[in-house]
Amino acid sequence: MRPDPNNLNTSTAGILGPTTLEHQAPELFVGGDGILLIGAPNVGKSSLFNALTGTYVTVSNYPGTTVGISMGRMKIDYPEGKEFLKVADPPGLYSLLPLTEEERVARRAIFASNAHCLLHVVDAKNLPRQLPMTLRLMEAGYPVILVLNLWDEFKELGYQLQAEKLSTQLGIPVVCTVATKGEGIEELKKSIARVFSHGKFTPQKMPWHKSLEALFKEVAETIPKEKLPAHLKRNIAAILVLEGDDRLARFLDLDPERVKSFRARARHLAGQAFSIFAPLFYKHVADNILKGLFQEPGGREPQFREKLSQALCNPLIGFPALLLVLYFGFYEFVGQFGAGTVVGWLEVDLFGSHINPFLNQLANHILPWEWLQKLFVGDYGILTLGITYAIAIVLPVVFFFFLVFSMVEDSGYFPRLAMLVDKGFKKIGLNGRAVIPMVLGLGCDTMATMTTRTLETRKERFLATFLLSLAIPCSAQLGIIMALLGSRGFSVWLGYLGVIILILFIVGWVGAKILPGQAASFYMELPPLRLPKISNVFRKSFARMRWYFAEVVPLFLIASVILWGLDLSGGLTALEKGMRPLMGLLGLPGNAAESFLIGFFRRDFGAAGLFKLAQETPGQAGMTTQQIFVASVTLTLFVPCIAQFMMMIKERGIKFALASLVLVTFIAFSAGYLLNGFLTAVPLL
Amino acid sequence: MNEKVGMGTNGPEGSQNNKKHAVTGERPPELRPLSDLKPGEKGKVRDIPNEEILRKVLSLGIYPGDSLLVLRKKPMIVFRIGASQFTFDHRLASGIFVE
Ligand SMILES: Nc1nc2c(ncn2[C@@H]2O[C@H](COP(=O)(O)OP(=O)(O)O)[C@@H](O)[C@H]2O)c(=O)[nH]1
Repeated sequence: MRPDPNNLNTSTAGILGPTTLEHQAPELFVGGDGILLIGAPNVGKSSLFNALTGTYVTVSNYPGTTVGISMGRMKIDYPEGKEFLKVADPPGLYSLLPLTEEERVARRAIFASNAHCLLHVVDAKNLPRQLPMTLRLMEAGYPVILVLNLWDEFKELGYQLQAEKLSTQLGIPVVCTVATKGEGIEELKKSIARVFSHGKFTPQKMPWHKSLEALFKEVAETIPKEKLPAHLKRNIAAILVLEGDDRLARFLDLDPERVKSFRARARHLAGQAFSIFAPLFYKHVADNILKGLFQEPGGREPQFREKLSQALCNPLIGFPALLLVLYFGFYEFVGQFGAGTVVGWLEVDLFGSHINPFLNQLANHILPWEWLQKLFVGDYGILTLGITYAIAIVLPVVFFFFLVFSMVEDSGYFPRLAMLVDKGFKKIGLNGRAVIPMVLGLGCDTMATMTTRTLETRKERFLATFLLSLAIPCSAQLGIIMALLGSRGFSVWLGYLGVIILILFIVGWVGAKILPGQAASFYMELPPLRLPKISNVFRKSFARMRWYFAEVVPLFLIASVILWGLDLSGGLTALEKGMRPLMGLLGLPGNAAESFLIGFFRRDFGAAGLFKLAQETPGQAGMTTQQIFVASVTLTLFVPCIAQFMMMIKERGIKFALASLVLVTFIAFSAGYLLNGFLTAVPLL
Repeated sequence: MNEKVGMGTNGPEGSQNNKKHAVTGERPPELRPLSDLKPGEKGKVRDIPNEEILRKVLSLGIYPGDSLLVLRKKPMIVFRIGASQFTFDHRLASGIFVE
């Protein structure tokens, strides 16, 4: 891959939130010189994106981790010279009738796509299942190139395909690639260049029956032009509406009664529900094209990988494996090494004894007023609080977390975990799919809250968002709480986990009963287990870090400024005073109030404050084990950090966010109060 | 929210229609829900009467007529079609009829 400064120009741009009008997305590419990648999850779309653009954004082996549209740039050589093209990589999409929010994001991207060409990326082995989608894209008039990725696995397993004949039959370029090794990428670029210089694409005609075609036309004529998404043809919209796309029908402002009668007519003409007929029709056309061109291998021996995959689905092996991953990956590596050793080194040795004293001196030297000095240095200074915490505490913890998370993700283990926990999750109104936001929440709740939009029903999205804000401590907070509780013995640590999990289940269970609706059924494709590629894992972690820095770190700085203002104006003291009696109820020292207040700005700030309180200092006794225990539990449950709160507003709306805030505060303090009462009556600690 | 399919099979003519096989229009000889199959058993997807389930199944690229092989049952059914493996919970698996 050629290093090219322009290629670094990658950003997770245009995260079209659910608030965006369904299809009213702006055109994807300014000027129209772009390429759009479309494909089902796990076909290697992200890897291909990275091979094309030379940068790695996020590559996921789990349906549901990329929710935004990644944008990058690629260089292409024409006979006349070279040019840079934009490349957009929306989430995976199984069909043109989306079921999940991420599929909707992807479809919106297609309908908003003025791309010069659309790469339909498929897993070559699964061509028979994915070709119908290619046909639909072609029918819709998009200039498609069919990319047969995972070509190495395809050949290795003994599949066969006459790719050239397929290309002739379809009338579009067909390119075989191994995205992870860069094979076929040059050829793909050449195909793209050729499509660019050729220009026009004629939509592929599908052999629909005349009577149906007439009906499509009739439906199309009822669709108001100005309502139509920019790059969706009328008769394609008509087919989708007939197939049962009610959201689209509503968006197009079609009269429901008329739609109903149109659908009844389509059913009559097709001899069965058109929503069933249409997919079978495309499949039938695809099968006819592939006849004689595509051969599956005969019986094959289950490989080691297959056996391992089966084993991980077995609860007797899967759960112990999970414990191993949690223990070594998260406890030892993230907790002990990341949050312990590295943080200790950075915070105490580097920032504590070198950088911050220097900054303090510098500030005192060059800034004339004390109030201004305090803005930058001191207890709530941007530099000494905001930056120090961001870099010395949160950065290493979050980075090590993302490293482990990305590794697990790349291996394809998550879908198997989702399957294992599905039964338990259904009890709390979620399904196995929610395991990703929950595990991700252990890293960064803000990011996890964003990914809850991949859950299928409203009920699940609300519950998951709420539970994340209540009971899932983020890695930064967890790191500090681990250190806090760890010093009091392993059993205290286990007790903490037990209490949090118990509360998570009780609240989830009650929530599931109260909230209307039901958890969606769980269904998922299990991608093959793959050995994580270390380079991918690193780049993916870096991409997540970049997101983290762009989205979350600024909030740290804002938080420091707010705290500084509150401190200066005396507001902080007043709020603290107000909270002191509450601390008394929990059996905590009054000055713990500060930790709770600050905890809102950053969950880990709060925990860190507690950490300071817990340590004995001259003139102040440390907290008792019971106090630490109660405080840790309450602080974990207490309101999320401000970044997460803002994400909650963005994703679920202000009403829900405020209601959650009140409820979470109530639950946190009630739990703390009860726990303190219980531990005082039954002194276990 | 679950996508509610506009033209459901709830209507009287809907349920009638689904007695027939989706492709050939004939009723297959013997149908069993996928959830009844044991590991190692093979089957062909035949009928999916519930349209919500059908929608999900079709969207994954599973079509009536596909042959499948059940790999395991616990904690949830895992089966293979072609080169891909899928897992469905009990509710979905019992709504898919195979032959
Ligand atoms: N052997 C092989 N593995 C690939 C290829 N392309 C992607 N992968 C791997 O397949 C997995 C899924 O790829 P990814 O790009 O995340 O798929 P996406 O979900 O479509 O974006 C990752 O572990 C990749 O390393 C390929 O052409 N050959």
